[in-house]
Amino acid sequence: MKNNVYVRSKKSIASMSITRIILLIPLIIFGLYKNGVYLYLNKYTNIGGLFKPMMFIILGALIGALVNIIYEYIFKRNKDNIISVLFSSFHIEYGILLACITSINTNVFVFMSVVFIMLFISKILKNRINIMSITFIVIYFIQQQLFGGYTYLNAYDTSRVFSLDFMDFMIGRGYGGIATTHIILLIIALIGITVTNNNKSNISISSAITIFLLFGIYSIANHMDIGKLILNNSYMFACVYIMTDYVTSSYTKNGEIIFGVLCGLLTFGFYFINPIIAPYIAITIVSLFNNLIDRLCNKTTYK
Amino acid sequence: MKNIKNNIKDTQIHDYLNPEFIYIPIEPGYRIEVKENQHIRKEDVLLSSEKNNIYSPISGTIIGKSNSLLLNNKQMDFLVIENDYKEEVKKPKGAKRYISDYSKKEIIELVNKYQATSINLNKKVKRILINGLDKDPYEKTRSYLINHSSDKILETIDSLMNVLGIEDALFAINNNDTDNVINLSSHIGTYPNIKLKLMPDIYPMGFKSILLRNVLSKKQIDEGVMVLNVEDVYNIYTVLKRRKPILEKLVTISGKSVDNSMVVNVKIGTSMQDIIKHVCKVNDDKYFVVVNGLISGTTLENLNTVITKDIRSIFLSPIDEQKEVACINCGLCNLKCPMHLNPKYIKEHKKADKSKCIHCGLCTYICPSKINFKPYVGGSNEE
Repeated sequence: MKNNVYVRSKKSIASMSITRIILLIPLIIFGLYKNGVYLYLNKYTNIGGLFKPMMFIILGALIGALVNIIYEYIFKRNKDNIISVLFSSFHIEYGILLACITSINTNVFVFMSVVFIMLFISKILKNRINIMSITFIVIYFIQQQLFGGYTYLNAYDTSRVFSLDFMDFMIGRGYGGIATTHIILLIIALIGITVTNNNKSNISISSAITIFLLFGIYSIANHMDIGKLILNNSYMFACVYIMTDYVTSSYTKNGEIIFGVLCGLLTFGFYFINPIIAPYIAITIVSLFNNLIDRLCNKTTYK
Repeated sequence: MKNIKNNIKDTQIHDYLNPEFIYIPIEPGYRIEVKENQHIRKEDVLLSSEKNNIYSPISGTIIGKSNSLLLNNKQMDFLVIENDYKEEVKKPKGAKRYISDYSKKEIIELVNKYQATSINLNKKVKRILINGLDKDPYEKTRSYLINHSSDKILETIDSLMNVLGIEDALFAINNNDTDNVINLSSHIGTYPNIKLKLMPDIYPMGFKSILLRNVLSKKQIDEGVMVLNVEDVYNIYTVLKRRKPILEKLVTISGKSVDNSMVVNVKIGTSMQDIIKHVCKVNDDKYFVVVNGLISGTTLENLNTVITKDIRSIFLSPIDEQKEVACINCGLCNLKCPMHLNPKYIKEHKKADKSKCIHCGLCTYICPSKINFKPYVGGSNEE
């Protein structure tokens, strides 16, 4: 007789998604302060600007939820309860993470429409590729074409010239997406998701080390500030949250390390073409080969 | 999950030693030594083979053969004995007062004759490891056995060491099992060669290979180690001290459909249906019968089977109805597998080597997509 299961762990897509989002909250709060409250208090933006970062985060989450509801209830005629439908995949997390990595200068309508279309396509195609990175690349190009450029600098950053030191980057004064700049909070989030087994930490660590080593050598050779190279442009956030998307990354131990190293290598390579989208191009390319990497690693183990 | 664990609050071992009928499976290779309507005494030989005999757990009358019961979900013939509740026994044979009075040869002969353990005691080893950890987190059989018979178990280990020439013994128990930690700590001082080893309350620590790896180094394992579980040790005590076969067994009865979870001492050959009917309160009829652990156990078609030597626990539980979804590639099955196997790969590749699998069920338990790996992983059950 087929052996069934009578006890299960409480781990589920919902619990994993929620834990990862909860640990993201301090970064989001700092992002709301840096790109909303601080600008408003110093009269760099109006009342609409105060709520703009929060609007991105809420919109991201709502689009993710909407995609799951439409797909499950209308396309699949699923009759499950709303909670299990909302967390039938990681799309709410994807929506929030996309809001986090997006620049505060992004047009809200562009963000909304691109995120909705891309997330919906990914839902139908069952996530063959890292949807967050490719969505960001699409947003980047549309924003650049329609509004003449894409920058991470908010109104305050553009108003003056800064000389940031290492600690400035650690406390979030660097340039990046809405909620990606505070490195200390990011390290805390990484520890949290690692300890609770909600992250492929081998990918985060191997990619961060690769990026550090390559940019370290490059910065020494060119007398540049390494902090400015690797702690700007959301590189570290991409290592922790974007590369480690469960569905489109490798899952074997060696596969995770190879996946992270490849992402780091390609990020360094694409940095010279476009520093803003470099990590996302790298992740998109490597995520295409995640199954191949695992297959090769399994072949070595099970030869 | 916690509900079941906390459910076994009764620290007593309950007895169900007087069933109306006993059913002995007639396995291939065994010859029937009794006739229909014959009156038999307890411990009389019922079946015999070249290797060993099967003894009667009760006194009574042989009713005949029946094929209405199942063993491991397979229909087979059973010898049915009607209980006369007199417990008539042959005259006691000359058991020695102390186990250490036996010679090594005598011990091995008696242990093999009465099948106290399947472990080869003749093997030359440097140390002995006693597994006092329950295999499944919801079982309490070994824990209760230690709690009620720690003196006998310690005496047996010490005597076995003396007779078999084993230098040192490790007694591994769960560090969360407070009663047994206190109990053994206060008794173990009398036996300087036996060391208590407190193991973390982590599943699947009760599995032989996992315990070995966590207690001893590779060098120590290579030097030679004999692993006995506490049931083996208690069985050896029974065989040597009382010079009688193993006729009774401790069984944990629990599960979400059982109101009063407990550990019961039953006769081998008792019908599971009788046990559940007489000792348990079942609160829900839509249960599945699982033996030997909710995580690693086997599902039975129904209760129409009997207690055998291999059964440690019976669970009556409804099935986990969480919907299975597509694999999310999280790698938790691969990460958590105690044998460093890749269950996802094994599921996808029929030819993958799964011989190392110990059937702990951790991959299925941990999977957030609720995939049941049990039908795909193979290997051999280690105990």
